[in-house]
Amino acid sequence: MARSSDGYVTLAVLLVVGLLAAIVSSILAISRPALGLARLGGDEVAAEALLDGGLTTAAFLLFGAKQDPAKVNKLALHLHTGDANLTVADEAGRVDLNNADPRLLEGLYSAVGGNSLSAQAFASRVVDWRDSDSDLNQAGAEASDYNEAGLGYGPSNLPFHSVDEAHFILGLSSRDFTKLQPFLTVFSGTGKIDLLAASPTVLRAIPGMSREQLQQVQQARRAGQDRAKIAERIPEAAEFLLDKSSGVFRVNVEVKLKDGYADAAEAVIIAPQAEGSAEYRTVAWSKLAAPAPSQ
Amino acid sequence: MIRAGTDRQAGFALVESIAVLALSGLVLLTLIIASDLVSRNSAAAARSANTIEMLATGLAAVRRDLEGARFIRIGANPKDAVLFSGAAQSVALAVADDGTGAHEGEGLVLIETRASEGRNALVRSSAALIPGTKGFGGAKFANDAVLLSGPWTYRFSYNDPLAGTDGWSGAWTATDHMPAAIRLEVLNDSGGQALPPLVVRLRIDSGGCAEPARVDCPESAETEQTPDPNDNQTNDQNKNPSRQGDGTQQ
Repeated sequence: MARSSDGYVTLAVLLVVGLLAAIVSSILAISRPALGLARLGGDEVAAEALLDGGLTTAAFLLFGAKQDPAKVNKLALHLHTGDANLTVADEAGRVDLNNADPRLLEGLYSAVGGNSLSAQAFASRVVDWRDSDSDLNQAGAEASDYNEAGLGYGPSNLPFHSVDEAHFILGLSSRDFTKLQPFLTVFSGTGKIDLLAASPTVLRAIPGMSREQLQQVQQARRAGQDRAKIAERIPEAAEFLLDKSSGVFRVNVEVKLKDGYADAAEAVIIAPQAEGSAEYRTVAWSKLAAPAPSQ
Repeated sequence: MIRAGTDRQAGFALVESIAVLALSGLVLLTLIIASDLVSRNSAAAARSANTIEMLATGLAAVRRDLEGARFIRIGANPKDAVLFSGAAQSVALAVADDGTGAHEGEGLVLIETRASEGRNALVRSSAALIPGTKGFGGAKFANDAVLLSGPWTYRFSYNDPLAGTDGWSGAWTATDHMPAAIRLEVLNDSGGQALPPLVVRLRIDSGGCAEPARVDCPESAETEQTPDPNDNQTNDQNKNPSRQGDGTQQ
């Protein structure tokens, strides 16, 4: 009898413990989404802080410490909340829509394989858009041409405020615009190209650049030669080449928190106007797709 | 003797079992009452969490738009207006992508308070940014999306970087620059904060080298003088030095 009563007591204890466990589980299950949301919010705040920290660090190193952009590029910052990886490129590695010579614009259009317009028409229409007059360049397009095409707008006769605005150029297809977009800017403030920062496509766009010269430039860059040394290999393109940094940089910041949360952003920053000032300007900023989580 | 002892043990076991049953019943009753309380509180907490989640989702959408604001000046003069408008009940701005997929490229976004059936809604609508846009008046806003809706009122305020220490104001009156930050408060019936206010710092603080007459960029500083907007020839030469004699002009 004592054995059977022991079993009964055990059963009762198990029942009570089971009920308690069920209650605790249900409370946890109810609060879990809220806890997850709170954690996600915390991660977002931490990632934002890291993105800001990464950008500010890049600005300090480039403008304050005046470090070589090549040294700041690929810099990894390890902080207690996570890591921030910086990618830095001189904005003059892209072709500036507002300042580039029409020949450079033609070269870029050919280099990306644009086919909705002739290269000359593309360059002329860019110039007709950005110049303040209504004089038609050869194969270009002014307000009357846009009107005839039934478009409810015309060239602004102002500098492009963004690369996206080039999407409205008469006759330029979306496909061609998409091809051109990664190689264009409105921020470099120069019509010239930085040989150290230009992509192979932009290098191909430089008038007078042969295939052999392109290979030589790429080899020289890998060897760590400076702008002047590399430019010596393409003397006929000298008028399109920048002999110093533009002072405008595109900074890509990728952050990964300790728990695997990731985020990324890209900004274009400009050196402070006053010598010694710590205030750099951010002229473009966009969130990017978060990098893939680490395995 | 042995039998008497067994009977006593059996009697004790019966009392013990009754006591266990009574205690179990008591514990079960307590558990039922406690679980009822917990479930009611949990339901209230879940409702509160859902409200906060809804508010957070709506505020995240507002934050995304404000952070993606573009700095676009609508004329050639540095004193010309920037494409931005802010009032206590609404904010309108240019963004890189309006997120609707209705059109490519940059767009205009309007976030405003609308009242319907006793509830206030914070509604987002968007329009394409067409070249030559001089303001928000002529824009055809569509794709309405309710970001927040409930027994709340919404209040925007704007921080002017050029306006001293307490730069927050309920309406944005400056035209030639954009606010440094925008604050959105969600207020309940009693005028208290339904949740901490959303404060978004605008990331872009300048139109950069693309802006007429700016001298932000080294080469621009060397080549560009402050232009007279009426002096097209000077401006043209500065902006496009290759234009002269490049053989492309008719």
